[in-house]
Amino acid sequence: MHGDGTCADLEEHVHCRNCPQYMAAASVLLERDLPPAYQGEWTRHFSEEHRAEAPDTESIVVFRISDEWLGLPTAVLSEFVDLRPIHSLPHRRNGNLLGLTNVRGELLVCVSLNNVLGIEKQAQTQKRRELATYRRLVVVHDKDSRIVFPVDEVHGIHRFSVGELKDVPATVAKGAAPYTKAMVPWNDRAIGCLDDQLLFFALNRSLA
Amino acid sequence: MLFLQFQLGKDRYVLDSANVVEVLPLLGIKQIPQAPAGVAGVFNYRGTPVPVIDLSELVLGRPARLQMSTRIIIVLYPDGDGAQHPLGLIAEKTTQTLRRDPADFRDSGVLSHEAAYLGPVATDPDGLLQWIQVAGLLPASVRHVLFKQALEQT
Repeated sequence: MHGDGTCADLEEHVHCRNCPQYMAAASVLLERDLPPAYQGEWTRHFSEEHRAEAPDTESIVVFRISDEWLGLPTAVLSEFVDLRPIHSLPHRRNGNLLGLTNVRGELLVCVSLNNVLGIEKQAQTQKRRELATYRRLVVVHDKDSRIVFPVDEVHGIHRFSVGELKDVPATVAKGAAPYTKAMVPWNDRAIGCLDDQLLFFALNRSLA
Repeated sequence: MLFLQFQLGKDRYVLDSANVVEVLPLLGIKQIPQAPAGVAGVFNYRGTPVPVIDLSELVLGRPARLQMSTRIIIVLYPDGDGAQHPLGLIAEKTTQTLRRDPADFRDSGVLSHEAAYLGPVATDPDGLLQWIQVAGLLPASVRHVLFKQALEQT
């Protein structure tokens, strides 16, 4: 509302923006010349064919382990946390299990995806050491348990339509292949989308 | 009934909103050489070429002003053979819609065969509103140029 509220029309229209006089004044704003590039921009906009949003889209969390970019369905992600001490467990050194770590006061099992997927650790070159600042812990969950694993870099969440999915080529690193559901094109490369159920099954089995 | 209001010169006219597909900003139009008077040209409407009539040119004999409030109204135009084609109408001050009872509109008392699109008029405190009938907008010759030829080519 503008002014001191003494306008007689207020009773009928309650607020200035409902008043026809106000509306008429506002439409005067449109009585001006076209800005430069206005026509060109709209011409381009309406010349594109109307594409309906692809209805079935899915999203994955994209992260890097050594040189492999991998994805996990977003639904299983709990959170990303900063690196923190991982306390190893005595007599449990089968490689998959790294130990326990404290996430918000809860002790969670920390596993090595490198090991599960058979991805070799890269030699720590100078470049790699610089990138060490990107290392994070990823907390994922299935129905009744939460598991943590370290990754070398987190990109974020990538959304794609189901139609973009491609089959896994035979050249994918052998160890990761059984856990890879499909390939998703992303930034000129393809990332392996991991099968969360299969991965959880394998992890739980190796921890039992 | 909902009407879309626009202006030609100083006078206000309305279109039945049921005829209107979409209102677009004034975008770039490809002119057609030697087209009949009132035909502004053709533009690419989401992949389909759609002819555009400049109502100002057709009715007043001067092109519409290039202003933000001048817009392109896409209507479905019946070609007389049962088919409907999208047709763009350039109209000035296309800034509002209004609700009126169709019974408010009365014959203007002036009938013109040249301007078969001019329908009945209604009054309001600001003056008269005239209803534009989409079907009568184009003389048969222009209609033939715009739609029949396109059909023969396909």
